[in-house]
Amino acid sequence: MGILKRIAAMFLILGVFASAYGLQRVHEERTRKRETPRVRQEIRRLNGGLSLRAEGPRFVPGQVLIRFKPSLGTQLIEGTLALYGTETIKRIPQLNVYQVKIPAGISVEEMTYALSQNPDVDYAGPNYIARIAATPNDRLFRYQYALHNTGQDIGAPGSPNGKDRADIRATAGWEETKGEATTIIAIVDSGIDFGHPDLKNKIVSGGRDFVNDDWDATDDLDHGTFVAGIAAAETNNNEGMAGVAWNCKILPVKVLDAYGIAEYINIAAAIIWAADNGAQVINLSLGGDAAADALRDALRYAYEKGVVVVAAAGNYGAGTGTYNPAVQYPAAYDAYCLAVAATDYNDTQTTWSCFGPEVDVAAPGDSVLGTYPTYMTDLTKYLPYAFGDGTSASAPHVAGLAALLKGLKPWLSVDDIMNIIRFSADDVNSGEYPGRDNYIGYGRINMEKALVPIKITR
Amino acid sequence: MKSRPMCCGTLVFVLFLGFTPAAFGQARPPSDTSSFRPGLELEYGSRTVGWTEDGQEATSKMTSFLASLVLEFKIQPGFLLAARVGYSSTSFENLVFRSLPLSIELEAGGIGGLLLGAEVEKALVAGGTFSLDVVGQFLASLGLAKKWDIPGLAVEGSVQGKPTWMKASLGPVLAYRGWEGVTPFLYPRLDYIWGKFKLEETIQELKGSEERDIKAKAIFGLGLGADLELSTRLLLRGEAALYPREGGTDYSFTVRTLFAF
Repeated sequence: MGILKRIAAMFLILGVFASAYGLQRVHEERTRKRETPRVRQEIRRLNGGLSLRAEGPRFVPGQVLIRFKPSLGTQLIEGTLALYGTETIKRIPQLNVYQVKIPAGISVEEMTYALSQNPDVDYAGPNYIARIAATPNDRLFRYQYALHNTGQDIGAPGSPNGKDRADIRATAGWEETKGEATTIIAIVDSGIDFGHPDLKNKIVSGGRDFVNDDWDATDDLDHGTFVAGIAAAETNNNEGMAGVAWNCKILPVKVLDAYGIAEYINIAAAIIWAADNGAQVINLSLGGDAAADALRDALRYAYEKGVVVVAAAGNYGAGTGTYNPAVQYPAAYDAYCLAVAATDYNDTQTTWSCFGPEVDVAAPGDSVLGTYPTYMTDLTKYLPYAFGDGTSASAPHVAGLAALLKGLKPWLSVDDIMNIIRFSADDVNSGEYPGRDNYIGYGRINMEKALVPIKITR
Repeated sequence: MKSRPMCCGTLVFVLFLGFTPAAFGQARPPSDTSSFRPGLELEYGSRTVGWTEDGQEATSKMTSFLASLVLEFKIQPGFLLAARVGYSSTSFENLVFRSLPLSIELEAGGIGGLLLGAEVEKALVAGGTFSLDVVGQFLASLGLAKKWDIPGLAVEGSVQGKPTWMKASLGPVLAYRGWEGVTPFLYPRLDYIWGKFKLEETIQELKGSEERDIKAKAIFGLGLGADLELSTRLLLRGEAALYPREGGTDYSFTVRTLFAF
């Protein structure tokens, strides 16, 4: 055999090897399942789609909050309080903060000033009031543009269709994780409808009612039920709506009364109670315009316990009766919580969303579908769901994402989770305000980027 | 050219030195008179590597291109040692890092590195139409750090990766020596690749790193090749190998030239 024939024979053999490889190569395909809950009844829109802003006093009359220096014993503190003629209403031992009733005839401002002059007092201030950042309006998945927007009719009467992909990429994020049942989101709000079909299997306990000081956090407003559903409604159950955190649980903590009012002392106590009772994420869809050290310290307490706190920025921006666009407290405590602004179905910042340097991210807050108390609904006509507007609706989207991250990567610190949510956001207003801005912070949250491996190609 | 010069892994070399010294002097007769031969080698391989992630097996395709200078020494008749030094380019498909703050799937093309290797070949049966050698090989690819920007973030962020992998193989080589100028050969071999890929993520103050221990899914290969004696001083070798594994087959191709002085 000639050398050329031998060479040809070798190439032929090599060719057979290569072909064999090609034939045996296995291709993998992924199939993605998407399920769409069905709407059973008509959903109507309430309140004309306006975000609700409660009006009223900024703080509780006749009360102040005081924190004494840690070196002071209980007896000395009680003696000091007696000297000022105050009467202790409540104490948060973890913060060493006292809620006291001041004597008649002395204003809160005067007492605050007098106490702040005492060298044994760390701080003293009014018991400020926080209010709901939105109220649910009308009352499923195809209507949840916030989670998956295909430019569909978003369901709320009078609203235009949304813009394709103006959503938080929830369906893509769920491909990576649907959350862990061990992850608990505390909804510090107006309580919850324990019998709601989309919530009843998600609630870990009866919760805590700081308004009535008992253990029954039943919602007598609707706001807490609405918020809880956005964060973690039971999903893929052929019922109602989808929650951001499919498998995570809800811990209801009631601080808002039937009028949507919450005292700062109760919010602070609720944050601490939630952090001490298994919450890994706390949602605060409420806010007040005053800073308060007790509130800040409660947030710090939760932060130091590894709890991610998410708070609504507030709804006092342009086009509202009360123009007070500064980010509300507790959201304004930047170091310890994520402040969430609102975008709409077109990925546009809403005019009414509060803004400022404290805003971290934004999430859909316009015409957002949430759960609505069954006992407040004429079930013969309506489903126990409603559309609502406000940063109250935005915050639980972020709380849900934080809960998914907690379950997926439990080793991450609070700062890590907050930064992941910030840095993975889509800068949807980059045309007008490139980079981080005071209106939507780093941008509208993106669950896909936060949860699913980001592909780096050459 | 009748011999099939191959190389040795250091460990394999030690094993040979330690356990088979008596065999060294009795193998096949020298096929040429050169005791030192330099050469060039190009190797392309596509291997499936796997790792454990949250208790579950995950896999990635590792593609490597190796270019190296080969220095072959004939220690004694039938016993060859070779050293390799050169450049390696390694790329991975779908190498996923889920323990980083922001999970990353890397499919980012070749990552350069330093290639070091050693080979040993010992003739067991020689002198007839067929010869039987045993060949051991050790390669180390010491990857250089490479940086990539993370796309689509609200802020600038990057990851820096550094793959290091090693390959050890050992097995007999059966060669047919009945043809003038062409020596086809066939070999089964134990062939194992293992290594690490460290990826560091930095997105402002958000930092994390993850090390992925990778291991080849296939540990057995079957190869076929031929030595072509282009002249009395120039040898060209081509070989191809298949590495069957669960669910498919990996492969490699090698071309080597050797010069005799």
